[in-house]
Amino acid sequence: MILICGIPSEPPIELLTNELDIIGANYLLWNQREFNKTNISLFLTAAGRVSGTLQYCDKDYSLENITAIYCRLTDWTTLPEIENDDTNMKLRERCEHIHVLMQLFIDNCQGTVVNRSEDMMSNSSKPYQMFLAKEAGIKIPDTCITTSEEIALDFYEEKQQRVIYKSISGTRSIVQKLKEQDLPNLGKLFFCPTQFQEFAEGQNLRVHVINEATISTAIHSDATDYRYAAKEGGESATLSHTELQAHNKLKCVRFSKDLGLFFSGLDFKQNEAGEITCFEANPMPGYSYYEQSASQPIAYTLACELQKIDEIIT
Amino acid sequence: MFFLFCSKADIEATWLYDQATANHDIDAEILFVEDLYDCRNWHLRVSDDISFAEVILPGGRKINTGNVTLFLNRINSIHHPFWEKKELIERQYFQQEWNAFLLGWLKAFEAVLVNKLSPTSFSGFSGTSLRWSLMAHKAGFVVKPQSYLSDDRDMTCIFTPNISKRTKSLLIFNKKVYCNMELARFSDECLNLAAHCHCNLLEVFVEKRGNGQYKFITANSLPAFSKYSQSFIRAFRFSLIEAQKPLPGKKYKNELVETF
Repeated sequence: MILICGIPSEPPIELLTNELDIIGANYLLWNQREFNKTNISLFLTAAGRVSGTLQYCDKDYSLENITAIYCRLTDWTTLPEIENDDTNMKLRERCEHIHVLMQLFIDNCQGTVVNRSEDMMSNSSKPYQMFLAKEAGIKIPDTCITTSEEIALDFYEEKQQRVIYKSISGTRSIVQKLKEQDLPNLGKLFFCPTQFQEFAEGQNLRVHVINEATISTAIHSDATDYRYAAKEGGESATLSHTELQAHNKLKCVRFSKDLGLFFSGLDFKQNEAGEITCFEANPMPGYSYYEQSASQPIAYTLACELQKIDEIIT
Repeated sequence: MFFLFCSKADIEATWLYDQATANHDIDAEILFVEDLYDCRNWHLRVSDDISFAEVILPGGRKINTGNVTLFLNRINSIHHPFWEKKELIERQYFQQEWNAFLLGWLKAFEAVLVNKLSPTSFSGFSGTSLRWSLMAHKAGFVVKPQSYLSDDRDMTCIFTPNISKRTKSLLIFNKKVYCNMELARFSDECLNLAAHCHCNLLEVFVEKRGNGQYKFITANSLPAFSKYSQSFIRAFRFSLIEAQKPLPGKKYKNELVETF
């Protein structure tokens, strides 16, 4: 059985469960907001196997029958049931315990997990991911991270003043061009290192890797950060399907595997020669934006892959 | 150069540093995370053909990917004093940024790091009790059954295993096991476990049960060095001396990573 964890109305989960319904897959959708209708018992046997039971909405499910998991859990502290009732400590504790145990099972389940928390952690450091992309044979932009005003200025000049800056961690930040008027602020770098990158020419590209499959989306936008194109005063980005060259597809699959990810969203820029430069790997891609804007079968492909695993094991 | 990055509160790491450098025949530097605030020029450059990381210590000495031959990192997160007094959200953001930087910075030193870097633990693999036990079972250890129920009041045992007075430990370094004679029969299991979790340096805890059988309790990549024999110190010193020897055609081991 396939286990889907998260909030049913969240677009990536909704799209996936719709596809699972269409292909007739055997799945259970665990709505994390119904933690009060949930009980988990989890065991490690002397034979080194993880077993136990998930009791959900008055039904029992053996954890050993779960062959694949798609996990897109929202931070439990932000669930309305908890946020709107912060005085109910018992409810809070219950919610926390259920989520801790569910995560413990997900991370140690013998089946396929999309994706384990340990493997998603690479996203906490963009330079760390850059090294892994490089090891997978993917081009990366020249990147300088520093606490030194002098080194940042040197990099700015070396790159003919075509430099962008953004956060180093997984916390989403708006990518911005470093401008002449920003330079007096570089003295503040002493308190927090900042990531500077040469501005890469080309078209933005999102590649979703689902096991061995790749689905690529071209993003048409003049903005520095297409996600905020309208905010920058320009036209909203438009998305369309595109095909990667075969060798680039293989590199994407290798990179995703090296990260330990069954499903990932890789961000690139592609130049006119078709060369791709990697910026980031998203381990929990909010793929619905790309699927709906470019009419791409991302959820369908993921659903089929999960069903294939379930059928092979059971 | 041997480079140790640790906290001032880490007595075990400083003990190892003192022991390893007692004969003054090893080029070594120690940086306490508390002194980070005074360091200038933390710097990381990465591109298709460059991997270079550097920090300038308060005394002016440069530590970089070109001169470090062995790097023992005992720091898993940075709490920069400048941000400690700020509001929680701001503090968390900047802490994430520093940690993200540290992870990338350490990755540049991968060829000389004692333990393989992991995004979940910068000093080597770390996991819950369940995760360690699953790995230990694969490595050949007998493991204690575990049970977790959502009605349990206390969930701390998921993350912190119970280490009692009956618990004994073994140290693995460079594919050798340091322990008392009684535990020597677990050498293969220890080496398997260290290989599974890509740790060159690992401490393993086992406990003797009522029936005389030893069971795996947990492991960690931040060993308490001082309880192990002088033979470990000799081996550690030997590895430092070996690391300082130039490789054929190369001055330093880390020159395997291109620098500029």
